Amino acid sequence: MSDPWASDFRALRDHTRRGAPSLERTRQFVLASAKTPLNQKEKTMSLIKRRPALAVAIALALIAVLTPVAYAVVNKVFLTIDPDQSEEEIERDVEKQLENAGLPDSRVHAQKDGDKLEIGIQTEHQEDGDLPELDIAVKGKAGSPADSEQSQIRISVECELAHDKVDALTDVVSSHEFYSLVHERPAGQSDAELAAALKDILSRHGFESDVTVSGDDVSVVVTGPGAPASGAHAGVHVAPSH
Amino acid sequence: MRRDATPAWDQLIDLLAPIHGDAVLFARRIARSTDDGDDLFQEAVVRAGLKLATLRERDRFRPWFHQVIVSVHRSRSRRGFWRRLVSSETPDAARQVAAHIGEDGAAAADERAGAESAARALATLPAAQREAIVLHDLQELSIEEIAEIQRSSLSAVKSRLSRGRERLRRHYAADQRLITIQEECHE
Repeated sequence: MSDPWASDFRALRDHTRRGAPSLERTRQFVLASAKTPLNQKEKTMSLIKRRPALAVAIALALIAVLTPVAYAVVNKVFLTIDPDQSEEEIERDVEKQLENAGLPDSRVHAQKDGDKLEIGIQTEHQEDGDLPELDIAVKGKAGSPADSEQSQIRISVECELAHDKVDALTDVVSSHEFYSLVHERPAGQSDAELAAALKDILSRHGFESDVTVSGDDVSVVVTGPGAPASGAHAGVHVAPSH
Repeated sequence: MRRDATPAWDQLIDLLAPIHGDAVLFARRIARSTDDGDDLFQEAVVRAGLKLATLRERDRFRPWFHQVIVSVHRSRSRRGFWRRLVSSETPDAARQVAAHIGEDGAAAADERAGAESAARALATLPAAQREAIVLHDLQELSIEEIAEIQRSSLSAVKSRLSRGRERLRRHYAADQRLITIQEECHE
């Protein structure tokens, strides 16, 4: 028996081909493009590559692992990041490592900004398996993880979140408010105080969570999409819950 | 600095000619809308023109150019990464695709409905699964060719196809239940 979408796909293919731009139109576009000033073209085409090269140290590796349903952590995936690579190379490299670890559809976002490297990782939930814990090692200038100043934020979700809530959570954990609490931690602040401050931000944006801090490692477990506290805006956008 | 058309651009058009239709189809169907697909295709053409010197074997142009499309597509997706960490396209995007399809009055109504339905279903897939499904089921490429384009292993492609089809199956089953409920309400 054929797939129920087989005839629809044929219709989509036929329709898409009929309305497609012609080769002649592409030729005209290419000729016009060839006359575009090179520097203008690169400005629009090479956004990522034009970012400043990474300096000496890694200041923060932000690891966001989001999944819409509960899971138990049983495995570990060890990732190695080479900060001397370009953002695209890092993304490809980490995606490859995740694929080899059995997470073929992971999305990786790397962004360099001065001496900081942010890594965002999203893995797709596998209904028939547990999501592995990710462990990240960042190569230092001399090839040793110890050479980098690195902190990690692990975010896992152990409750069911609608897509808009996952978006909202992403906004919160990638907000300057959240990020700067970890990255620009005041001297003398205890681990418990930082954990409480992070938990408070999540709470104000409607997320129940358990936060533990141990030195540079921060672990956030979101346990529920509770109702946001009043006045929860604090510089990040929270998507409506309906 | 202005540059005139160079032999590389003519060469690019020559190489594109036999695969042009397939490449446009691929770009349109993995993008969030038909317009986005056309933008994606054009951006890929420009990038391919700038990188053409890196193409070592002319007879490998087809997978090479599809790799460029995938690369551009993923770069475009990443630009909004933090705002859109959920990998599935939104239902709005599917409606947008369907709206573009609906603009063509020449298509028969049932074909248009089928095409809309397929576009909606495809839009629910994560990007990598959608790429694999479009390449395999719409362009009829082999697993090996898809693995080359996606720079993945054969098993990863098979897994994407399998999970993509499972999602499509669930999507169509849900659609069918909805139609049944609507029919019952009308009776």
